[in-house]
Amino acid sequence: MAKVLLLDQQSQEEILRKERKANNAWNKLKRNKTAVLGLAAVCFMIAIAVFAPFITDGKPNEIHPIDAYLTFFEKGHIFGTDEFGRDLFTRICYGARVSLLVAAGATIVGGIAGVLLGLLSGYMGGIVDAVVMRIMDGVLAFPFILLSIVLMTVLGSGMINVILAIGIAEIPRFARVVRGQVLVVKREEYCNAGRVIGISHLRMLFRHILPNTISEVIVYATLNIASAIISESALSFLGLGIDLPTASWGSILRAGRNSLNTAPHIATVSGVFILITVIGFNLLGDGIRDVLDPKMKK
Amino acid sequence: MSENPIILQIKNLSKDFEVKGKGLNGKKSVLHALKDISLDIREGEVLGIIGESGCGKSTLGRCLVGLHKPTGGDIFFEGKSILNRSSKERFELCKNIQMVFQDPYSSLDPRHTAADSVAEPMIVHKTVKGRQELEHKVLELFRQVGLDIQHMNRYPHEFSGGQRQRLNVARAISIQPKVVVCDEPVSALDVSIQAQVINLLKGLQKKYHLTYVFISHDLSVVKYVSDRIAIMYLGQIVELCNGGDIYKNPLHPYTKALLSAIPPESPEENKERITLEGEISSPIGDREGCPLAGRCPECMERCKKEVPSLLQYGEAGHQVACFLYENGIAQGGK
Repeated sequence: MAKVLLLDQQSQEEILRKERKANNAWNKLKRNKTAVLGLAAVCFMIAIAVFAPFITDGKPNEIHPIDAYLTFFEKGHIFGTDEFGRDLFTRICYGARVSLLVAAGATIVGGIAGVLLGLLSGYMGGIVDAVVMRIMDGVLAFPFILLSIVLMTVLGSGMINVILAIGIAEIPRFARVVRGQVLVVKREEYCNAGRVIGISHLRMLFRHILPNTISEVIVYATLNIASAIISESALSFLGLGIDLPTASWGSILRAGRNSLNTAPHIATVSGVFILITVIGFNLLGDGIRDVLDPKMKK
Repeated sequence: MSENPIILQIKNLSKDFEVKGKGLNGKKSVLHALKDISLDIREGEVLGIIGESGCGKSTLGRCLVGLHKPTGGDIFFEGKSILNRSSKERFELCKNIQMVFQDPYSSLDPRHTAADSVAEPMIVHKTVKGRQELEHKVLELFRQVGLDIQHMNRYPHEFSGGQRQRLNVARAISIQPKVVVCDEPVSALDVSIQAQVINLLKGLQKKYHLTYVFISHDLSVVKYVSDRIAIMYLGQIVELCNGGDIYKNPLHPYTKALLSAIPPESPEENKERITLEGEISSPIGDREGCPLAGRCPECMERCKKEVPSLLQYGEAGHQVACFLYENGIAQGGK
C-alpha cells in the first residue's frame, strides 16, 4: 500500500504520545476557559463549606437580638446580620454545607436512578418501556411540592431524607431525557455493528449507548442542581426539610424575603451565592460535556 | 471453485416486512424484501450480489449476519442452521460471519478511538490474552489495512471515508472470520479510494482464504472482485453465473438491460440499448408471475402467472430464472 508514511517508529510514537496528552480529559478541560471559571466557582463554594469553622467564629445559630438587621460591614459583620442578629457570613458558610450536599446528592440520586431507568426503558422497548414510562408519567403528574411532602412525611425529616425526597422527584425527568436519546442511539449503525460482533447487552448499554447519551444527561444535571437548591428551601420553608435553625441558602433566602424592604441584603447575599453556584455548575457541566465529546477539540 | 465445500447455504430464504398504512387506521401491508432465495456459497470464493436499489441485496446480507430475522427458509453455516440457535451458539457464530458496513461514517462509534473500535471484537470474543498482546494485535491489524500507529488514538471523525472503511475492515477481520459480508463497502467512497479499499479486501481475501459475499450496485466493482455473480431483482435472484460470463453471455432480459446501461467505451461504438419500460414494480403486496413481467420486452403470457425458478442453462454453473430458457434446458438434455 502506498500509504506508508515516511515517519520512523520513534516519531510516530512521539505523535501518539502528544495526542494522548492533548486528549487527556484534564488537559482538555484546562484549555476551556469558561469551564475553568466554572470549576473555580464550584471549588470556591466547596471550600467555604468545608472550611466554615475556620473562616468564621463557628456559631451560625448564635442570636444577638440587639444587632438585628445590620447591613454590610457594620460592627465587623461582613454581610451584616439577619432578623435575629445572627452573622450572615457565618450562616452563608454553614448554609453552603447543607445546600451543596442536598443539591449534589439529590442530583446524583435522581440522575443515577433516572439514567438507569431511562436506559432500560429505551433499550428494551415494548412492555418494559410502557410500564416504566407510565410509572414515570404518574410520578410527573404529581406537583413536585406535593410529592416531596408525601415523601418527607413518610421518610421523616433530616438531610438524607431531603436528598432522597428531591432525588426521587427528579427521577422521571432524567428518565425521559435519557430514554428519548437511547431511542435514537440504539438504531445507529454502530450499534448494529456491535450486534454483528455479538457484544452483550450490558456492553452495548454502557460502552456504546450511555456514552452517546451522556451529553444530554450532564446538561440536564447541571440545570437540575439549581432547582434542587430551591426545592430544599421550599421544603425547609414548609418545615419538612432541614430542621430550623440549621442554615441553608434556601432558608436564608426565604427568611430574607420577609424583610426585603427593610433589609434587602439578606435575600441579596444568599441569592448571589445561589446564583454563582448555579452558574459555576452550568459552566463546568458544559466544559465536561465538551471534554467527553471527541468532536469538540480546539 | 466448485471443488471447494459449501460454507454457507441459503435455502428458500424469505424476509417480509410489515408496512403500516397511511393514517391512524391504515391497513398493514406486507413488503416482500426477499422471496424464496436459494444460494450456495463455497469456501474461499467471492460471491458478488448485484441489483438496483431496493431489490433486497442489503436485506440478504443483514439476514446472513443476524441483523434481520428471516420470515421463511433457512441459512446453513457449515451444514448447521444458524437460525433458532441458543444465544451462546449464536455468539460463537458471530466469530465466523462478519460484516463490513456500507456507510463508514455511521458504522463506527463516534466516542471510541480507532484502536478501541478495532480491539472491541477481540475483547468481546476473548481471542487475546492481556493488554500487551491486544495492543500488539491492534497494531498489526492497523498495518495490515494500511493505517499507521499514529492513528490509533484518533476518533472516527478525524479520519477520511477511506480510512474509516479500513478501520471497519480491520474490525471485521480481527477475529478471523470465515465469511465476510461486504455490504456495498465502497459505494460511499471516491472512485480513487474505492480502488484502494477493493484491493485491500482482495489482498486480505487471498491471504486469509476468506469467503466474501460482496454486495454492490456497481457492475464494474462486482465484476472485478467476484468469482461468481448473482443478479437480484425485486427480492429474487434472476441469474447466477461465473464472474466473466455476465459480460460474455448474459441470459436474463434484466441482466441484458443492466449491461446495456453501461456507457460504451468509445463514442464510435454503436451499442444497442435495451430499455425497460415503466417503473420498477412495488415489492409491497402479493404479486403473481415473474417479477420482471410488467417491464420485460420478451414477456409471454406464462410469465404473468407463474414464477420461473432458477435453473441450469448452458455452461456449468450458469443459472437463470426465465421461461425463455426452459426449452433450451430441455434441448440440451440438462
